[in-house]
Amino acid sequence: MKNGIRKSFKRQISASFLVVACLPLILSSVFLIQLFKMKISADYQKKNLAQEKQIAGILTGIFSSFESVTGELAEDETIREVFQEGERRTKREIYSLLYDKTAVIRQCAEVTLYMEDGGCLYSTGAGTAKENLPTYWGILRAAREQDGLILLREEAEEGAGIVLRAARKIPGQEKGSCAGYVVISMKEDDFETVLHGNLGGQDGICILDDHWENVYSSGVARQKDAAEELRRRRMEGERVTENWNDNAVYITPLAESGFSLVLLRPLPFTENTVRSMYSVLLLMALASGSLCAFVSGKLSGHLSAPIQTLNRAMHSLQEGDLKTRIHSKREDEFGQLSASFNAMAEELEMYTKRQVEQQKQLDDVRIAMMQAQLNPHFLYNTLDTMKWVAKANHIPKLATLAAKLAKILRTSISSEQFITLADEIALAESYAEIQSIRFDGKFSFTFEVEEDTRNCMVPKLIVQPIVENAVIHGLSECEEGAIAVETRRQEEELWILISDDGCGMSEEQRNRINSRSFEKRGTEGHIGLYNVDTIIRLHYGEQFGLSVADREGGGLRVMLRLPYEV
Amino acid sequence: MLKNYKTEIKPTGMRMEREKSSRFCRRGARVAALLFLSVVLSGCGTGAGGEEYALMEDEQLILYTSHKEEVYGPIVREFEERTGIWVEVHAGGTTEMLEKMKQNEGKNACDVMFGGGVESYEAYEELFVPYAPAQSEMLDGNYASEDHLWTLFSELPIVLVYNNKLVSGAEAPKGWAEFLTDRWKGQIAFADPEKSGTSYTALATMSQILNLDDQELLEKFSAALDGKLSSGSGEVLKEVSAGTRLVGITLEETAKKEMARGADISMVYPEEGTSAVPDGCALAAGAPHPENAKKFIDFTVSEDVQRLIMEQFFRRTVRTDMQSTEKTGEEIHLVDFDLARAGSRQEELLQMWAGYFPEEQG
Repeated sequence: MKNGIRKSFKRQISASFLVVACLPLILSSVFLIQLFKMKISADYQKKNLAQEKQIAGILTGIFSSFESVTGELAEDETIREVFQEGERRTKREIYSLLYDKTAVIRQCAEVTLYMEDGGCLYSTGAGTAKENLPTYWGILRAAREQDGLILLREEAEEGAGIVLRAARKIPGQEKGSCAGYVVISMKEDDFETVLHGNLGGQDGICILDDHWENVYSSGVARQKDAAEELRRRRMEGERVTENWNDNAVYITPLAESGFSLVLLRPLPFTENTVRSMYSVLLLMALASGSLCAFVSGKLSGHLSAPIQTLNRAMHSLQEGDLKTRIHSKREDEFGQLSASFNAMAEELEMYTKRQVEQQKQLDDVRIAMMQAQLNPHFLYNTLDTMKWVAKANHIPKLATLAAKLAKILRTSISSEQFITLADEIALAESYAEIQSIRFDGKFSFTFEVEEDTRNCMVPKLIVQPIVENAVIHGLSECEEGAIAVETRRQEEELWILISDDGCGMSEEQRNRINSRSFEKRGTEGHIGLYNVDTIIRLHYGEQFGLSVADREGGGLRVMLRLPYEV
Repeated sequence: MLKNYKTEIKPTGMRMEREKSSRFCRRGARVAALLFLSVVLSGCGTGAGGEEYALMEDEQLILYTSHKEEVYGPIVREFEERTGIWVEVHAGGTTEMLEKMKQNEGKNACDVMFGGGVESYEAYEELFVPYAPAQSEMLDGNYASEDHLWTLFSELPIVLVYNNKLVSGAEAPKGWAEFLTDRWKGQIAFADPEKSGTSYTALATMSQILNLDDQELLEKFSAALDGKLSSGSGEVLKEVSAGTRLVGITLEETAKKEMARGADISMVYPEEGTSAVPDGCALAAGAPHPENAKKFIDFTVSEDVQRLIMEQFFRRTVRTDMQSTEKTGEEIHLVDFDLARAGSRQEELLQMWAGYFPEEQG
């Protein structure tokens, strides 16, 4: 994957786009959601705690009024007399006392007086049915065992809907003994009366006894039996205030009663809400991701297409297709790059073409020279024989001719491409001697060789053809003539000057030679000049070669320019 | 010139750029991850743990019971109230709970098994350790475990019931023998003994009282049942009071309770006599809270609880000092019931039973 991205410019661009487009979106959304959640949760918590405090206040208020009411009743003289001493009072008298004392709590609870054996004596309850309570079990036993108020949960089915009882014993005459009981009973309806208006529709509350059994619950806590779950959590050592059924759980102890109040409030963010928020976020990320993929696809295509074109062009150039060109109408850097590439390819193509042409020309010259060397050994031997025959027959001129010709021939057939200038001049001198004999001294030859040029290496047979050209063309129509060969070093160049005092050359011809626009071989017999010029040029480059000029006082001066090489 | 074209321009600059950018990406990713984590963590960190509500080990007791909630509920509540111990109750059928104990052996999963006929305790004796409760000398010696492997809770005679509307007093069943004839064919409400301990005890009682071998008993009895079984012991009384069946075999306690609720049924003590197999309570082997478990067992046989079960649950106490106060209405003829024999034959008998009622298996 990573490699896949790295290997393509386009994919790199696309991937960066994608990251840049989606990452900030996702990060900031997650951040926002969390922040939002925290803020709302904190507000809710504050509100819920306040509500819980309020409800807890109501309940502890009721419990403390139980405390005071039962306390007063247990200490009341009349009640004491009735229970402790068995004094007879009218029913009306007792009831009026009972109703008077219990006025504060009667709307939410019943108050009953029990005898020491659990027999029910007086009750503020609406019904006439009186139920006795066991004294060995439950609330009366607990009240007997202890001074002060006892609160005890009741199973609703057993005690006619009573869910909570509070009891206090009426002390007997002896210390610690028990003459009867004051018992307060609350039913579920009573709790509803008490809490009416303090609960929202979605709230649930749950009053737990000291063993976290359900005393009273309402709303969601009742439907789903929150008490059981909370007790289970506590028994199993789990976190009891963990959210439950998308409700936040708040627990407060209710003063000294040992009871606890549990408030269940719906979470501001249920799992579902959060999940749907994240789904929206995911959708948005997908949408922006695909938009980004589209845009970055386009843009990276725009960016990378010329690079791919250039890359392809480079490949095809490497493969050898020199005709490769890039057609681009762009004017930016890519356009310039394409133009540069085209220029480069053009130059490369031209260079290669020229190279091939030069090679072809060189080959032509070589072939010509090889043809000229046809059977040179035979000729050489013959000339040698001629020299000896001439000497034997005392024909010295013929011997000289044969010897000089043999010398020229030897040099020209040797496989050496380059010889020293001294050897080349000697060759020219041999030629000159032959021509002197041939034309019977009609021409004079002078060779003036600077000492430090003698050892210069030059291509062979570059001087003799020029001298021959002077003899054949320059002096052909003259009675006599002089040909001078002069060599000198001109800085880093070697100059060889061959001048004659013959008829010279027309300006047109000179120009043609100097501008190197020889027509193909055989131009007016100046093939010698052409060949020498070509040899020099091919060996040393365009800046060297042959040029012709008028000689002062008539005739032609040919100049060869070569690099000075020893 | 050609040489110039071949010059390779090494893209060092580009590579550096790329390295730099990837390094930046890595660091960016790390920073982002940190940010994200901090947000998520702070989002979750509301409120401290519930350590303040943690219970001490010595405040706990794990109770397996096969009693109904109406029985164990008040007892457990009173026990919690008096001792301050928190009781974790797991309720279910007798066999179910015993099997569960067997599965959870060695996992500190149970302190006390409460309820179920004591013959079942015999059958699973390896799950328990002996404990003699504080007032064991007061308990009925007839059924008491000699080695105190279990402690009695209440005595439960098996009785016959019939529907008052459909069966007249004169026609009423008198004893066990009738149930092996065609007299009540297809009209007997009887729970599957593979599920109901009471039904098994009834089978064993019939077998012992009528002195029949198991094969013969099952043959006749299954013919009388005519393939009809109640789904549980609770169903027996419902079926009889609803008139679905005319007669039923159940516990005295259940029958009395149903009658107190106003069901129009009558109860008959079989004339041949009947067994009163007690249910019990035992300390689990490997109990995690043995001290609390012992307290609980002591509590079940205390005067208060025994009085409660007599007055509220229509059960017979196992305390000899209290049996005299028992209000006995009709004459009940209790036979000596060989618990050990019933316990040892249970598996075999149930296998044979499955042969007669194969569709009831599983």
